[in-house]
Amino acid sequence: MKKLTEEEFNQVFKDKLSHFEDEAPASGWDNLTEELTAGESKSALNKYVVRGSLLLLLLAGATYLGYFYGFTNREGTAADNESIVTLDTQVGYTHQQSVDPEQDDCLPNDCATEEQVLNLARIGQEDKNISLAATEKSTLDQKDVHQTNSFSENQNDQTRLNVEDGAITGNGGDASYLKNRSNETKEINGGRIEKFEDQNHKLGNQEGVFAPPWLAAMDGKAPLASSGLLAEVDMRKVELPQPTQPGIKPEKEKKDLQAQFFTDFMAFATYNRVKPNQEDDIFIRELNTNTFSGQRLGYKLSGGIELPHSKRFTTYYGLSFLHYTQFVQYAYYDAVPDSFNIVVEDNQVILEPVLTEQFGEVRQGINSLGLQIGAKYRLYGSKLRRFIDVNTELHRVLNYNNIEGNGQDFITNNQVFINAAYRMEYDLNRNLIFKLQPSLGFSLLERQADTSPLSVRPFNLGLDFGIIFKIR
Amino acid sequence: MLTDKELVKECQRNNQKAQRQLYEKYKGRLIGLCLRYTKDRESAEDIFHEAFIKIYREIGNLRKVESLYSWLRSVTISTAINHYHKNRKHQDCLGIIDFEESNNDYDRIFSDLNAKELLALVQALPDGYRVVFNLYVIDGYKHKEIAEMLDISENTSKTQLLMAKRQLKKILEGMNITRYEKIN
Repeated sequence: MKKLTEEEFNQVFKDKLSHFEDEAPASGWDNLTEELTAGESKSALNKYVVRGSLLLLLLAGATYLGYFYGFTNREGTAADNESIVTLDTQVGYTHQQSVDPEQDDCLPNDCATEEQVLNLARIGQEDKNISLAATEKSTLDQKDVHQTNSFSENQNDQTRLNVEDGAITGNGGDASYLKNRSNETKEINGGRIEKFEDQNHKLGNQEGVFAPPWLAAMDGKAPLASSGLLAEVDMRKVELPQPTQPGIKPEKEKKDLQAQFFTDFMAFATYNRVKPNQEDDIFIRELNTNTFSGQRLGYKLSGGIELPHSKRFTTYYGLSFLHYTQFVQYAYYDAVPDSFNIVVEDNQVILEPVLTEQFGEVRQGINSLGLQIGAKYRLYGSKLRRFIDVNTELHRVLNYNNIEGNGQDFITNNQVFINAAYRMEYDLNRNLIFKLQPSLGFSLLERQADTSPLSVRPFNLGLDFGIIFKIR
Repeated sequence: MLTDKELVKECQRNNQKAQRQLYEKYKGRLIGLCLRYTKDRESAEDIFHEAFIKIYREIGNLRKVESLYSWLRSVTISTAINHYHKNRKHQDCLGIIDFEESNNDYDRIFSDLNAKELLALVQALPDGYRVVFNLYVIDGYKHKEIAEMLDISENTSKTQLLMAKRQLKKILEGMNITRYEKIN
């Protein structure tokens, strides 16, 4: 006789219980067939419900897009027309200004560049008159003003002054601002300084607003409060590692890894960080973006496919439609038309525009469509499953409507977002999963045109919650 | 009589006769399995029923049919674990084990106990202990796998197993089986 070891103790249980059989419930089969039959009809009904919901969702989206597309088309020509930016301060105009040549160095008729002009100015040419002519029509605050102040740069970033008959015509602007420009032409009309050529903008044909064109795209998205219906095809399974004991072949894990389709609805709010572009010389004095205004609320519809690669790691790909409104208030300095201060420093003539403080605001609704690529990694949990979720979205603006203000200049066509979330999924029943997802997102690209005086980066902190519906 | 491979094929075509045959063929072993993971027959029957529903619904995804029972068993165990998770809040207390003491079998040794007696021992364990004991000792899972399945740490799994064995030994002592001996 000897005492059993632990292994032998285990073996006794294993030998006698691993193939233990007992009587099945008497009505077992009947109950099964009953439920299977009921389940089939229920499953079919569920599929119809989900498909119907998806169809309705798509129809609603299409209707919505159609509405805004039409709305935008009605306003679409505004890109090349007058501005509706609110200006609280009226700007005065001086259509022509002459400078006493006796007070300055004289310039010859045939000077072509500023450098030449200034060089000649230094050697004391006479009978030259610096004047600013206003010959073209532009608009400011919806008033027609006849004036032209053409302002251009050559490729060497030097201001070129057009000199005719001893006069410098139609030049002006912020010389220091122009210092870093190259390969672009700039003009000033109606006292407004145009700093870059935007998609629909004719150079020098804007509305006497100095700052707004570069407040572009102060949008972004932040899941702050999301709710709605998520649908996934296929059922979630409890995945079991296979035993390694002899005689039992482990099944390959991939058998349980099936693609799933999902749709998602999410409401969000956005915080945009807007700050002056340090790389540029700007006149923006103050920005008030009213970050948490209700006007910034929006929603996102997304759908796609989830591809599990292992028990824990899943990637997903889809499309997402984004709608949001944004409201930006700002204060800035505007250049008074045809009003310049001429400063001579180190034998150089510098024309400085006269500035006045202006205020404006923009409200607009924006629709964009994007690609979504993400991954979620299951950390732990079976009933309450926790994931780390990271995704990126590349969006392109479909259309927008300007509710108020010159919104067209606030749009950038491409937006890239990175979102990270701590995702929790909780089984409500066999078909429904509750999802809670605190998330943090930000724009990968600092939305800032080369010539923009503003740097804009959306930061999103939010709470996303929803329901996942599984189709069986 | 259809082979396992044919059974799976027919079940995948929703052939009810094949489904019935599958049920008849494996019902005994699967109810036995369910009984091991629960403390009473009623719960075992619930798991048994739920497991078969799952089996019929998921058999369409089964590609490799060489070891049908292995797959059936894993589905049933996963169902049992789900059941355990759902009910753990209400059942996971370590109460005093009531086990009828045997006055007559003083001379019996552990290895002579039959399957039903051993099953009764296992069923007498608290839920957490019982699940770990079944998974490790009888079904051959490793602690790492058990930890993953039950959402616990490996150390917890090991502790649960140790405690389960202590409980079993305690019960055995209660049955006057104080020596776990066998004849050489």
